[in-house]
Amino acid sequence: MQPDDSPLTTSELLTLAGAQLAASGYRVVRDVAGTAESAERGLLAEDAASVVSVVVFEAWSQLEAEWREAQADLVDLLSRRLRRSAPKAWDGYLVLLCAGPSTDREALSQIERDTTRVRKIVATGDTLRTIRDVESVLDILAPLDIPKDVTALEDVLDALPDIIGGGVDPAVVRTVVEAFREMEAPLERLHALRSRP
Amino acid sequence: MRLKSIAIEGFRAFSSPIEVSLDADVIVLQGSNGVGKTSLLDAILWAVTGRISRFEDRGSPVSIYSREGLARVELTLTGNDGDIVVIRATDGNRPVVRLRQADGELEGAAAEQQLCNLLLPHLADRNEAQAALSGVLTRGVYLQQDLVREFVEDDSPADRFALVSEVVGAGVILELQQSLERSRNQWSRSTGALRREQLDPLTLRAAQIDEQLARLTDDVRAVGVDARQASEAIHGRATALLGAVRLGTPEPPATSSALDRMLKQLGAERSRVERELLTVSDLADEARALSEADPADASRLEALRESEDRLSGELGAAEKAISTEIERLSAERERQVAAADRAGRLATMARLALKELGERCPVCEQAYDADHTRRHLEELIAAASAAAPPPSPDRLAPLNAARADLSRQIEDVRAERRALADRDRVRDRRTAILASRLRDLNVDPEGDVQAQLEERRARSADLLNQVGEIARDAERLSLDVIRLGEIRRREELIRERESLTAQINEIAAQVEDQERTHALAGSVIDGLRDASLAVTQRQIRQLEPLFQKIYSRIDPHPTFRVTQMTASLERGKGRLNLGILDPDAGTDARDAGPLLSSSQLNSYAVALFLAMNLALPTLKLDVTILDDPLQSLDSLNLLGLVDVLRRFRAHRQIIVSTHEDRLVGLLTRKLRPVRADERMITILFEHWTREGPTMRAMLTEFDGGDEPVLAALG
Repeated sequence: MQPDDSPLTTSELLTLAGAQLAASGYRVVRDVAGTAESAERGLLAEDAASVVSVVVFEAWSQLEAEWREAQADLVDLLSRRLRRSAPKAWDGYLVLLCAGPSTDREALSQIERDTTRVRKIVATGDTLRTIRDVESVLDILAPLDIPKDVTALEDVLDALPDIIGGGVDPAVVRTVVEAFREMEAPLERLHALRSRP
Repeated sequence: MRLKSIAIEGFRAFSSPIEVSLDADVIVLQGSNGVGKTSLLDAILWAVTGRISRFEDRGSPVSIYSREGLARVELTLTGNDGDIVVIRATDGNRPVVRLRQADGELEGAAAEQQLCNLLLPHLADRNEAQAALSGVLTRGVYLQQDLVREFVEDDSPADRFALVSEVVGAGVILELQQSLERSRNQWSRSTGALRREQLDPLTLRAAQIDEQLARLTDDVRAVGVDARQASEAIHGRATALLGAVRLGTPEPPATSSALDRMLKQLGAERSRVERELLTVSDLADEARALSEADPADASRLEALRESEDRLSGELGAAEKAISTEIERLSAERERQVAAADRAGRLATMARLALKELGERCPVCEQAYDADHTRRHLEELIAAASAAAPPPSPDRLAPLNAARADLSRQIEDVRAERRALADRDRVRDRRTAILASRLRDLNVDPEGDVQAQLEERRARSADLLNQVGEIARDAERLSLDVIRLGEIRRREELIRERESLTAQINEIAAQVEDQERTHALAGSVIDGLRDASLAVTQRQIRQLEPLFQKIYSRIDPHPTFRVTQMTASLERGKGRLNLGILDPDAGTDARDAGPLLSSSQLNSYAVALFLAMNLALPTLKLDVTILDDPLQSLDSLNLLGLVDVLRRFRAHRQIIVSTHEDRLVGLLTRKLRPVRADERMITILFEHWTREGPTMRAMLTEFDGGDEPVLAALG
């Protein structure tokens, strides 16, 4: 089977969402039946702080019509499983994915900006073309990792010999850096380095 | 390193002493505006940096209600190496800082430096470390509510670059570059001084020596001359010839100047002998001339006297004849004048008579012959007009000529007589002078003068010849001495030139060597200039996705979804531009300020702050402080920010304040401990009096967590 550049299917969206959430430390339960009639399938995910419900639709019209039912399902689940005072009861996320494009950006925005009950995250086929697109949508639920290269640069002076190009001998740069650190006269050190056989 | 506790007294809103525990992963400060939340956060900043930039130059942090006029903050930080206590105090004028560690206590500048070393170890002992720490804390640790958008809106791209460079640790490259440039400039001055003060004078001296060598002889003929022996010989000959007294140099000349003096003396002697020789010659000629000059002839003198007497007589007669002739001519002229006067008078009367001539005489009225009378009158008039009768022959001219001839003859005779007399007088005078001069030369004028003078001339000529020979020998010796001197001087100069050449070569090599080091440092500086940008760009490339990720979580803007950070170098200065773009439109990034609403721009700025906070690899203070960041955020942005903060908890101790009651619940719920080792402190600022805020702290620890929702489903 050959890959094509068509939009991601609902199956693919759900699979990718499940994988992404699992990779982010969530416990994921697939094929959860909801009351939303048109919803192809959905999944539930949970970590120490929150519960996430991912619901996938084929078309924008279905999503627009049925997202409230999906939200109600999640709220119902939380209320059934948790005490009202339990913090997690207030930490639900509803991820609404649609394989087809959105025909009403304003309506999509309104769904997202409706922060009552649970927070909604909505994405449609016009922005869901790749695996990275799905990851980006769900990134909000993932841990915030610090890029490795940022933390690696403990002391930029150590990296200077490799950074400086232009044919400058790394030993020369190291000498200058050492002199700088030791508050020694750098040109004296360079001079001594040059005089060395 | 994290914050553990803070004790505040007399600082801003805290006039009375108070101690607050900060020993938690999350600290939520809640209270209405003006109850001291920001003062507590400022106290943390002030304790670490000693400054609060937004109050710079606007008074001291001392509370106006402080009873002792003293502000004091004691901040305890904790890390793997134990606790560190920073105590900072001021009375508004004299700041004091103290740093207490397990291994001792530091104060003042040492404490500041050590604190910088602990928090920014990569800037250890750098001069700018304290300023860098202040900048990093202001822009990347403590987001002050007044300064939320300052970094985005007010800071210039160059300021942003400098700050980000510092945050990512690349500022040290700039500092290293500047330090190296300063050293290089000083090195250049030092090399210039070496050239100017050592090499140039030596080179100049070498040129002078070369010029002197070119002027000194390389004639080695005099090398074998024994100057001392030659000097003694010449001096001996001169003394023998002239005598020591006349020579004036009792000892043989041992120096050039003594030889010069002797030469001058010989020259003077030679001149004297030459003059004497000339005198002898002159006297011989004079004596010869006088002897050949005859005295005047007496018969000639007598003949001349007789001739003069005769001519004088003849002259007297001639003058008498001339007088006689002159008298005769005068008488004749008087007669002619009288006749002419009478004829004139008659003519005048005749003209009058002619006018009055009538029948009768107008006087006597007698009749007369008028025609006859008229003719007579006309004849009288005509006679007056007629020429006078010619004078008698004049003999005066020949008489005068004869007298002049006689006078000339007398003068000639007298001149000849005077000449003969003068010649005799001159001859006598010359003879006397000659005799005197001969006597001056000890020559007897009465003797055979010519013989004596000849002998004298021969003696003088011999002396002159000998003096001349001695002088020539002395001059040759003098020349040899000069040559010897020049040869020795030349040898000395050659030795000095060789020494100089060695020194010049050594210093020139040193200068060249230093210049090579200078050039090498230049290439390092060029490399550092590019490296500063490269490092910052590299870090920004890592920072940018983090910024994007946080911004996307806080503000899922439907259009401007992509943030951009670009670092560039313009005219040698780094610049950091911030932008935002609409990825669907495919346009270039634009300045976020004009495009975003105030709320969105806040989200943008907070996202950037948080990204920088997480990307602070160099700061050893794992804290994020946000002073009321939630105001002016809409509910979606608010949820997004809180979600981000929840994720921050894994990396940072979070201190966040809010003035809204309704948000305390959201924050405490979202940021609650979800693991056994997590703690949260909620500090409620209830009200404020002049004593300071009244606060109530509540500790929340992990309570075992909620029951898993999915347990039954799994």
